Amino acid sequence: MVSKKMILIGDFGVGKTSLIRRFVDNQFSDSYLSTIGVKISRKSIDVDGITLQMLIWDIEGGTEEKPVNTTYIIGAQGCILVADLTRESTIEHISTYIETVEKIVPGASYVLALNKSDKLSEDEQKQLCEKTENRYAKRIEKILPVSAKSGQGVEEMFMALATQTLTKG
Amino acid sequence: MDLRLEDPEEIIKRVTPLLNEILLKNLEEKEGRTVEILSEYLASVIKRASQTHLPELSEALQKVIAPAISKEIANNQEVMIDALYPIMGGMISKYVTQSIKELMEQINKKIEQGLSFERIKRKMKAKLSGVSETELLLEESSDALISSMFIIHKETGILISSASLENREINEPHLVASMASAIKDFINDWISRSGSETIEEVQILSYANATLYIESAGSVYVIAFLDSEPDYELRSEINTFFASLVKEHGSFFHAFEGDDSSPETKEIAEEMRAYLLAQKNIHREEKGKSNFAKYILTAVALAVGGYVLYGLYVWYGEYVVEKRIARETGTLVSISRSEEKVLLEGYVDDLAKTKRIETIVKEMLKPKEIVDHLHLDVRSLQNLMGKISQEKAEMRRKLDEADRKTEQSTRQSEALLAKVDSLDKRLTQQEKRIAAFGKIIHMDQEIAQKLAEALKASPYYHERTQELDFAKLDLYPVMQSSFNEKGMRVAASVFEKYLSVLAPYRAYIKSIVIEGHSDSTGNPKRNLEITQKRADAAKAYFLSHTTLRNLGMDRLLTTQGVGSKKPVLVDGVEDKNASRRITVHFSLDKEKILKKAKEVLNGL
Repeated sequence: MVSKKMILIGDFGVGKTSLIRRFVDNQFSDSYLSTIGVKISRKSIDVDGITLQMLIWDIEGGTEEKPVNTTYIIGAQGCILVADLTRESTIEHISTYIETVEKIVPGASYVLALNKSDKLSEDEQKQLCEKTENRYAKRIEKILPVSAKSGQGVEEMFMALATQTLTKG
Repeated sequence: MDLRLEDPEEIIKRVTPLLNEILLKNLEEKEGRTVEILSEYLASVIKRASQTHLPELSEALQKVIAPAISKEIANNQEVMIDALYPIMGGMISKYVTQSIKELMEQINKKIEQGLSFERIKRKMKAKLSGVSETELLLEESSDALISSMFIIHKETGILISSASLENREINEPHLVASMASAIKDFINDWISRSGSETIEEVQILSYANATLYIESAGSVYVIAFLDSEPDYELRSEINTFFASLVKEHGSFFHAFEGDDSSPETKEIAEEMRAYLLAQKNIHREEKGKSNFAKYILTAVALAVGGYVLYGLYVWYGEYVVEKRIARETGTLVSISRSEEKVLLEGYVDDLAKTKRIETIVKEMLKPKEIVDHLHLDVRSLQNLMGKISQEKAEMRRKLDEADRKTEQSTRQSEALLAKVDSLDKRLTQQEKRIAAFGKIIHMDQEIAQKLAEALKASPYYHERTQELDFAKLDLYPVMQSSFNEKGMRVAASVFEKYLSVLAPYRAYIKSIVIEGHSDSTGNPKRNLEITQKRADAAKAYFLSHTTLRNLGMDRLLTTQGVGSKKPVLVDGVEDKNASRRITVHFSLDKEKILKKAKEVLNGL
């Protein structure tokens, strides 16, 4: 079994924790998130016959006053960037997160999850996704709308990150 | 370059500056090829030089090696730490052990300075278990058992390998490893942000009954899961073991990319499991020792406690008695009990109090024996001596007085006794006289009684008249004075008995009269003559045939012829034969008796 450290990063309230809940096999109590600023969950998935154990570090949402604790980023091999489709500013902030992660773990794999897709129409989703892809496609391998509420795109998102991570070795 | 190989010194002299230059240049340019080529030759040269010219070689190489190591550490910190940790770990461990020893010595000094129940308890435990007091002190805060051990990749927090004791496995070890890593990172980050001058990594995490001991080295750190905080010794052991793992698997750790399926991972897990088992056995042994020591200590503590309680009980019992003695006698006495004896010690101001004290002790403690060591104190003794002297003088005075009184009493008693004797004598005399008087005044009755007793079988004695009448003996023929011999012998015999009764009274007998009688026939004058003769003849016979003379009564014996004045009448008719007879009677001298009676009475 191969284990990889993944981080889940994004602005406060974008739905990171909800996404994790939707996906993982097991996780620590949410109380850790508010106590030490991170909560770790585990998910094992099979990628082309290889069992990959993802240890997903759900890092407390950053704000202008309180940026994310970069210590938790160290050693991450994959990064799920999460934004809220209903709040464009959260998509804007993704570049800052990429910059931060890149400084600490250069060459990490990224996926961007545009959460709360259930709150937008398909057209709105498509429009926003295209806009985001145009901006981040160079650096982020996979950008997709997801919904923690409906489960839309969640599995796909994690699978994409897993594949990327294993491919990179 | 012209090198003379037979002169190594020359080679060193010439090569060293060149070598210096090459190495420095190589490090700057990061080209290892030159070193690779030269090292093949240099190895043998340096080896030889080190045997003959070590100081010079050291001096020359120092300039190169020191900067090279510094640079290597700066560029490849983790690799260098992986390489150095096993050595440095040992050194650090040694240093820490030395520090712990110093700490123990300091603690020992503190212990020596302090005296408390806990210290005494610890001291006893140390004696009993053979474990030093300091170690016990440290043990008090730690009696830890390692249940699991994780080797975690430092950068990613991913678990490389883990091992647990049986039934002590940790659920979700990968998740736990990551979370522990996150927590450790959080704390380290917090410490570094807090502005601490010396940045120290967190080593102990405790939650409820679980303790995590964390030790980092290079690209990995170890987490030991314990049931309580480890002591310095255990930490040192963990570090040593961890150092051995890093030494053996350092390169594997460094290259780890999350794949835990390699055989080395399993090998590490086995090593850790073996270590955990060994630790468990040591822990069990120590626990056993500790438990044994605890049992012994508990037993000793119980015994000591019991003894102390018993002592308190005894002391309280003695205290209560002492209190009562003080209250009732005003004396301070020390009481100590031994088996069934009670020892009393102290000073009393009055020996009389000793008895009271002993009574109280007997009443309250009921001892079989009381050992009395109560003494009079000097002042009391002096007082007592004075008092005794006074009492002695008083006693002497009383004794003398009593002696005098006794003497006086004795004299009085003797006088009284004499009086009593005298009175007794007088009384006896009076009694005698009274008896004598009674005897005298009743003499006639006495004589009559004795005569009656002596002659009651005789037909010739007349009790009423106290006379002898020999009428029945036919003593005399008609008108003759000669008598019937046979009859007269009988008469004499009777007469002798009669006299013997009277003899004791002869002093008071006036006369014993033998009267001659005749019948009524004949001449009265003639009858008088004949009867006088008859009386005289009878007297003569009696004198010659009886003990009359011997009795001294012959002077009292008189005779008288009374003629026929007292004839014997039988149914009113005179028995003439019987009338011719003699009779005997006596008469008392009443004057004499009266006189004697008077004498007796006068003597009373």
